[in-house]
Amino acid sequence: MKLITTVFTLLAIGSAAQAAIQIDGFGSLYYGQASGDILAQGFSHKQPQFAPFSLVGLNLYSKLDNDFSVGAQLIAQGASYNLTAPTATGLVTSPVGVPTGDIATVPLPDERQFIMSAEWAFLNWSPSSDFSAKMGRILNPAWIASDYLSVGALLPYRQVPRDVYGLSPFSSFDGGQINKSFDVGVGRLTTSAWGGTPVLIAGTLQITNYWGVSLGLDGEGWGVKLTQSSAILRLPALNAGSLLNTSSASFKIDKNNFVMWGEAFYTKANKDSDTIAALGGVTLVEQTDGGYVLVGYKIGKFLPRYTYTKTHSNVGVAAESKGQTHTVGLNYDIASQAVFKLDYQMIKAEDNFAMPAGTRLKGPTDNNGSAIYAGFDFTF
Amino acid sequence: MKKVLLITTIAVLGYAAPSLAISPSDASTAVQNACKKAIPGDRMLSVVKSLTTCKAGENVDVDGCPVPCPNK
Repeated sequence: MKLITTVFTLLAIGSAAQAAIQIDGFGSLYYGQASGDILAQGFSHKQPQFAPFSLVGLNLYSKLDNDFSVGAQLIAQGASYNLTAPTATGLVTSPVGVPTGDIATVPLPDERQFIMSAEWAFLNWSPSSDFSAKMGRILNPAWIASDYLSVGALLPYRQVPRDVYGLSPFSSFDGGQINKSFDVGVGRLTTSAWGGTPVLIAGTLQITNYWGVSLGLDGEGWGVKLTQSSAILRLPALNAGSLLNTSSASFKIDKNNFVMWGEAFYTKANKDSDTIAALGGVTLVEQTDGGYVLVGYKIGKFLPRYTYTKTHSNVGVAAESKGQTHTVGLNYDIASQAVFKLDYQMIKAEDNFAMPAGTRLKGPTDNNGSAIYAGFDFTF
Repeated sequence: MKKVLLITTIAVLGYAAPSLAISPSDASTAVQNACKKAIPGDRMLSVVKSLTTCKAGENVDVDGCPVPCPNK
């Protein structure tokens, strides 16, 4: 709430200083229903659910002068899941009281749905068109769709692959970022460096000292991006910490009606990380990795598409898990600013596969399922 | 039979009518060609929306640089 107040104060200053606030709206309104095999966060298989898959948002922007501007993205998410809130029956925990990730139950959704929060809010200094420096709350730049990952109308899929993007436990951080771009003939080369403290929704972990660099190249209808980052993960309850090194690689092609996006993400604990004797000498996180590829072909207003994801998570304090999803979808541009999307997703899990902020599966003995989603992404 | 006709009709209409939407990739290319600069990520929605709703022959102002409205 304090952040939202700050956002509006900054924007009011910007508005008073020069021009009016520029407002661009967006939203996603979806119904989704799982098969009986899927137990999910507020996601009943008995009837279609609306709130967990829907949101409305505003991008706010105002120039303070020729060099400075302020911007923010406010989102009212349909359902918010507070992982520190009571659950229906309690998570399965390890002998030392650490959640293992096993699915005995799920967190209860926050009853106050569609609460607004600031996804990003920052002051931007851009003395030239090829250099900028930001300070404030910034989206995690690790992904190719980092800057608009909540704006479904700009994405080829219904939403970013949650199981892959969820390998990073945060989507934004409080800190600073500098960007410099160059015209290199075949396209535009963008370099970026950032640092800060990640914003977490789970209360049991602390992540600090997040630093990273990225290199991106964008040409006509294509782009590639490489990032390297590190962060310190701590679990105060066990007085243990890990230095995590993360690499990611992404590409996208949108040319001659052919659409293809792909990303890969790899995190490994530094060998000097603390070990937890009570759990047999494991580290907090041994390794997580995953990726996805989307392929589609535009036929007039239609975009039939297929997305494959694969994830693997070896978190020291929980059982190792693996998972795959296959999603067949269809987009239809019903208007210039609205697109209908239909998804059928098949989920195959091994061990204790979990999809953060989305579906979770019942357990190792009954771990395949499917879900169908239909709705609209729009801008206004 | 009715379902087949309905699906066929929708498919033909959809195929015959070009998409009106502008993708972030289209917008990036238009701004790069016209202004030799990248669209800041936080401004992508605004630029895509402007290029989607503009009329042919108009220019869209992207931070002081005129970008021709793409053919749609």
